[in-house]
Amino acid sequence: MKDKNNIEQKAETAFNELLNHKALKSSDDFYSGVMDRIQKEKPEHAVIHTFQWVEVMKYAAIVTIMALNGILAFQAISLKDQAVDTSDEVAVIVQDYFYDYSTLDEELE
Amino acid sequence: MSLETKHKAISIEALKSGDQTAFQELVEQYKDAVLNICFGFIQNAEDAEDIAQEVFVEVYRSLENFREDSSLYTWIYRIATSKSLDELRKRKRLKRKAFYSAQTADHSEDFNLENIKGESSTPEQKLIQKQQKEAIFAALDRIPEKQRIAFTLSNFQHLSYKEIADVMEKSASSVESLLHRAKISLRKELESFYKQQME
Repeated sequence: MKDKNNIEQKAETAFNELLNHKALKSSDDFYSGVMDRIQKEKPEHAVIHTFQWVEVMKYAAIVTIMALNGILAFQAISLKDQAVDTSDEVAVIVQDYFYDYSTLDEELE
Repeated sequence: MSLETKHKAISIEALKSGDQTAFQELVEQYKDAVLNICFGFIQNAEDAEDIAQEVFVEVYRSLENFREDSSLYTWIYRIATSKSLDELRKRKRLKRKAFYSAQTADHSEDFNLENIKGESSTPEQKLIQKQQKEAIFAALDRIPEKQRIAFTLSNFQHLSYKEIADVMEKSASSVESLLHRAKISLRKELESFYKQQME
């Protein structure tokens, strides 16, 4: 019972202390502290922005190079195909040119 | 007297256009109010001043986005409340025990314990004072967040129900009920703190 009263009394005292809080006063250099923080933040922001732009440009360059690489590779493949086609055409022409017409009659028969 | 009439009107136009004199006037007018709100949450004078300065940095940064849906003081107090709660959440990630001891270490001037301080500090009184700070901090920390906000704005900045309602975007009657429940919760938490100490 005594303990219970003691607890209640302590809790009540603490509660009253909380309610009777005395207003704090800010320091005299409060405003200059705020301005210092604002000033400090400005160059940091600039650095962050520059840094972010460098990163963005870096990735943009990588993507562009990869895209160019892809286009060049595609063109190379097309050229290669064209080259094969051409050589096939040449082969047909050559084949026609050297066609042995002497056997034509035999074939027709 | 409402806060609107307590404070000299500051031109929002001037603030938005980056007028340094207007901003200085704003800081001078609201610094103590913001400091006391931050202290209500943080319970440490030095840290509260740090956060209060951060509040004004945020105000400076966000002024151009201030839509004037609410009054200037409501907006500033809302920033102060959310900054303080952010700080508390950040701290909760740290070891709770380490934080309690930091809170209670060297800031005996933080609480209005003149009756104890006046007779000055025997080791026993220092212990009582330290325990009381721990009890208050633990109790505030344990009550629901909305109750804590209402209690802090009422107790540490003496805002009216209507003003608290504006800051919290609630009705005055729900603020009244939050405050009533906050006081009951705080008493209960303080008792439970001291009960644990006895065991």
